[in-house]
Amino acid sequence: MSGSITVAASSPEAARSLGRPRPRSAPWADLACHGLLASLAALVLAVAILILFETARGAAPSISAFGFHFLGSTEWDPVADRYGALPYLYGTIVSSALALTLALPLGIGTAVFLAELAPPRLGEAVAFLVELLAAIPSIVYGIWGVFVLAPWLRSALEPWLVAHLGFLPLFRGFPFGIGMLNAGIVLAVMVSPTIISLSRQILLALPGSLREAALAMGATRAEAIGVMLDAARPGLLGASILGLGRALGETMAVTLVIGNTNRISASLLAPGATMASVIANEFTEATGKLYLSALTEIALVLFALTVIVNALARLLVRGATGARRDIAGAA
Amino acid sequence: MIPSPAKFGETQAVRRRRREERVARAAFGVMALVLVVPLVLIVSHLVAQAFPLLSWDFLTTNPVAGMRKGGVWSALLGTIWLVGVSLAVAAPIGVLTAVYLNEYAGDTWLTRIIHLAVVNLAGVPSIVHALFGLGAFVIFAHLGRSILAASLTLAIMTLPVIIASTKEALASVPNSFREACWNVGATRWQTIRGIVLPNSISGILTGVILQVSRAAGETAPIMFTGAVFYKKIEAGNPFAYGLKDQCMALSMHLYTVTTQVPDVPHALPYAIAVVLLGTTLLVNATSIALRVYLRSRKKW
Repeated sequence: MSGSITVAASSPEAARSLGRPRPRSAPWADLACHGLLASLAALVLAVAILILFETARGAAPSISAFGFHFLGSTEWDPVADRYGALPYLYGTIVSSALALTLALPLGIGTAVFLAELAPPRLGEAVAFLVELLAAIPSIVYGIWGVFVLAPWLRSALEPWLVAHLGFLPLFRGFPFGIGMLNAGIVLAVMVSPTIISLSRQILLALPGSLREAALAMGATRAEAIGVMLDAARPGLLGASILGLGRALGETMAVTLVIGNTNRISASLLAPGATMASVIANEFTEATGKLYLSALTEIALVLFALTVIVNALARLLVRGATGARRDIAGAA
Repeated sequence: MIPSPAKFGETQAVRRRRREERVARAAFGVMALVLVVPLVLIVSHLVAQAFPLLSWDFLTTNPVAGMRKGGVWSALLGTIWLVGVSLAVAAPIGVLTAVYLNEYAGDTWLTRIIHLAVVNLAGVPSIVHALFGLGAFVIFAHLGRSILAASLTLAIMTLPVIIASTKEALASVPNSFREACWNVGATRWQTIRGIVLPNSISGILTGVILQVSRAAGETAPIMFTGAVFYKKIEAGNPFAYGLKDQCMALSMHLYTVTTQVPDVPHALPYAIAVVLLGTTLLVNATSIALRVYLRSRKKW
């Protein structure tokens, strides 16, 4: 739609008489409108730069005080004013990885069922339900984690895990109910609607001829689904990384259920903390410039991590959907 | 489908593949059940536990007795104010920016950078926005902890998503519509107002309304910038808050009652959660209904 107009058309009248698709010079009102809109767009860019700048500026004292050691140290001592973010980095990665391990197979399985196997009506209805579930505020999932999931974990699942799988370091220790396992399950529940609806859209976007070709070759439905999944692999990977991006930054629900200690423990039953949860927990109580700065540096690290993860996911989803706008837009 | 010659030729291989087919179908069905049923159960459990407390009075009276009794009026009103003000800021800016990016701007380095900024901002965790809001609005702009500061923080959080969804809606209007309009001599703005916006309004509204429900549910961005544990206001007066006031909010209230207040009645957190959930789901259902209605009127 770029202007390939070569004959000058100085007004709408002239344009019409020449039969040109667009007036070359717009009336002043149109120019003013253009200017106004352009400045709004510039404002959005300014906000983005400002967020990055503000966060980096707030983190500067901590960066200059601790350097890269900040990411490798486990010491978090507001009294001695020494800070290291490793436990929080560890907590964020472990809880998100646990969430994906639980949500990914089930989420993609559900998407396959909804897109390929379920009667179209049922598929639509369940997909609608899943979309609504994606809108539930994270704090509500947190409440569920505290009041419903934690007692069940404490009295049923965790003692069972300790008794039967206690030989693994993952399942040792006391069943608190609150801790990494709880956070992982809550996060899995929270990211699965994202994974389901995106995966379903990706599967529906695949050309039907793929399935038909497989069936025509004598494949069973299950084998045809295998072919479809193979073709959808990059897109499904992208969908799951988008889910990962959500899990990494999730704040309130995790703060409620993870237990908030800065110890690194191999056991999933032990409490921990994530980058987002430590900021939410300690920022209001933080006194001292370096303490605030260390928390802001954690925010900066989290910012960078989510930007990288999301960029990766977008690339994969876009590649898989062939830049079809209606689907790639969801990314 | 596998050909099924009943009497002859049903080899062992065919039977095995049939069995595999059944197993695979069942496995996918079970996966869907394992995931979707608990999700639904979570919601129904919340509602069931909250049921004894839910009433019209619960919505219209203030919390009393150290937030252990009474209703949620001050928190509900706070949430409505926060969302309303943030929407008043984010929706016009977001929609107009998207109009610029999609209708005016060519594919230049500047628009590419803006696009990059928008998509990256959309994925930034809300806690990062919270710190930015605290630094920029509360401290630097001297707004203090107030409804205005918290709403602006929410607006910054929702803006990129509004831009992205509006852009998608605008891009789905066929180009031939625009060309036809230009051909009869309309300017760009006339084309946008008369043709592009009316044809994309359903998509735009859906995107904006979805962000309303997201803003209503967020806790982290308002926690440092304007929401407080407790504030006494006049019950039943919708203008009991001013822009410079601090306020309560449903999400924050739920967090406070769960973590800070000892001896709360068992049903209270559930009831607050259900009010919050009801608000967001109502908004979402409206958006979906609107989308269906406007799409049914679409002529292409």
